[in-house]
Amino acid sequence: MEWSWVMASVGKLLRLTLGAWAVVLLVALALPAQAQQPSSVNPTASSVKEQQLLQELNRIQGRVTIPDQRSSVLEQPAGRDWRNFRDVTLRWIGGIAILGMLAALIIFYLTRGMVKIEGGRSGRSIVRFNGFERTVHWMTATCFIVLALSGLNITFGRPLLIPLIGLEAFSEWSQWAKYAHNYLSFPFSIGVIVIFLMWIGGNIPNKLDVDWIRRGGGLVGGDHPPAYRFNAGQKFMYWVVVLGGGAVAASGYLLMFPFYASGIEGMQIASVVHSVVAVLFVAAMIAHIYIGTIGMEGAFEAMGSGTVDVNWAKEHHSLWLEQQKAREAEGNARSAAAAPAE
Amino acid sequence: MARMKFLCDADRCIECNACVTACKNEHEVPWGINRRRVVTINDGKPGERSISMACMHCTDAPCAAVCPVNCFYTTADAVVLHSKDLCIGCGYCFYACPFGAPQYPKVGNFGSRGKMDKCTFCAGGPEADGSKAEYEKYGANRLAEGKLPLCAEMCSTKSLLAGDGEIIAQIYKERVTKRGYGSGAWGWKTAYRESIDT
Amino acid sequence: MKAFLIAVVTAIVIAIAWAGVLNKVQEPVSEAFATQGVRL
Repeated sequence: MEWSWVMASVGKLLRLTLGAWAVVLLVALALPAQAQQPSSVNPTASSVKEQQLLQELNRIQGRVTIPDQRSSVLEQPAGRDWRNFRDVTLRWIGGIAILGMLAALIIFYLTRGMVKIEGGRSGRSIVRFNGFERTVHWMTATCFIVLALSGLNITFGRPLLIPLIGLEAFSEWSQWAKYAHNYLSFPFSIGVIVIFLMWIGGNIPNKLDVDWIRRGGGLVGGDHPPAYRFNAGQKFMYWVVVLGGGAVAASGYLLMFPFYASGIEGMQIASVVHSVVAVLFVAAMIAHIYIGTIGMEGAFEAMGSGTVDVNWAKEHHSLWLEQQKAREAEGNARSAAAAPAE
Repeated sequence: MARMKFLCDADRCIECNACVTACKNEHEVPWGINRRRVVTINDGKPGERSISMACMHCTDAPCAAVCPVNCFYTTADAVVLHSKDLCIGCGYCFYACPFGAPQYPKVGNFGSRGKMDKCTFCAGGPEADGSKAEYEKYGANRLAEGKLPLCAEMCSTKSLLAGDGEIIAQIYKERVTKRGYGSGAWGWKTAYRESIDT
Repeated sequence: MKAFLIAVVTAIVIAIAWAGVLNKVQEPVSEAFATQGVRL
């Protein structure tokens, strides 16, 4: 073996290795610290952006591992609009409706005064509403009063009552008011349904109602336009109760069973419907209570005792009075014929 | 005075839920109440983003504005807290909150949902700082001990930042500049009416 | 007067029954959102 050949091979290997390392070193130095500079990768470019999602869907929703799916909504800016409605818009609507109605009634009372029975009381009376009708009316009415007060408390209680009674007392009162509102809602809805069914017959609008309205309805001017059991004003009230009551009940049950039937937008809409209809309903009922109490002589007893003075009936529900008299006469004739002659 | 905020860096959140676990454990939050949650958007698709969300402690908090019994208050650090004693459980704060922070113990009728519970920025409630009553109702009060919220402390990737708004905005800005991308401070425009320019 | 009193009592009775129904239907969240894997 020639050592010179071996030496030459080792030398070649050494040179090769050194050369290779030199190249590596050169290359490494030539690439100036690329790891420290911002890379050309941009994950954000392919991802969604917050403002983009909000503009597209007006809410941002994703996937969560939590069973309560409401938590999958990351952002719902509609809450801001609802907040504005609840704090500002609703208070204006409610304030104007209710205070406006009170003002109108006060002015009306001061100018027109109580609507009297012109012919004076006759002393004779006739049954207008039976026991069942009155019971249903009073159940619905008392529930309404409590519901109205507890409901108005939610909207107006904080600015009006907290300065008077303080935070703790107001919270305690509101807690009970809320329970009353939840629990009395059911008997109220039942009352509205029964009222709808038992009085629908007499409350279908007809041409006579147009005439009644045109002739002032006994409110404007001194006329006494004829009417059946329910005049146009009362028919209006009936439909306010049935439709308004239906709307507050439906929206109310949605609010009482939150998220059973809708997402958060649905709840906000239900809240808007419930509160707007409710404040208008309250305004209408103030007028109803007025005319049924101090607004008209002889009106309250219709629902209080169930009977009314014949002269009152003649002046305000003449056609109904004739119907009742005819029915009575028929009844007398039949019983006279049926009774065996003694 | 510090103005406390949360910032979740959506580009770093890996949906590990350490923040959720930390909060649940620290405050013994009962099952069903989710003070903090991680929401994943476009799950499984390119550009998937996860964001950890609790209460943002908004400027002009809508929850406080709509509360019928005025049970909310804002501390000097701008942390939005509330009193469970005054709360009537009506649920209005949930309808107003853009982030779904309020939680209730009952799936229930308006008024019987029980006392509202939410992220307190680890700042407890109106009871005395660090008292047993405060812990039972609101959980731990770390802020009173000079500590920051545990969710951010436990975040495995330091995506969730909590602390003074200016400081965390600065941290986020530096991050975005250094790495070259950032999807922004999610929720800041809605909560604080500001965005971080990057 | 009798009609009014009966009305108020009826309202209260129905309300109490409704309260019972509500409390039965609307569970605590720990039950409502519990899945199979949860041990409460």
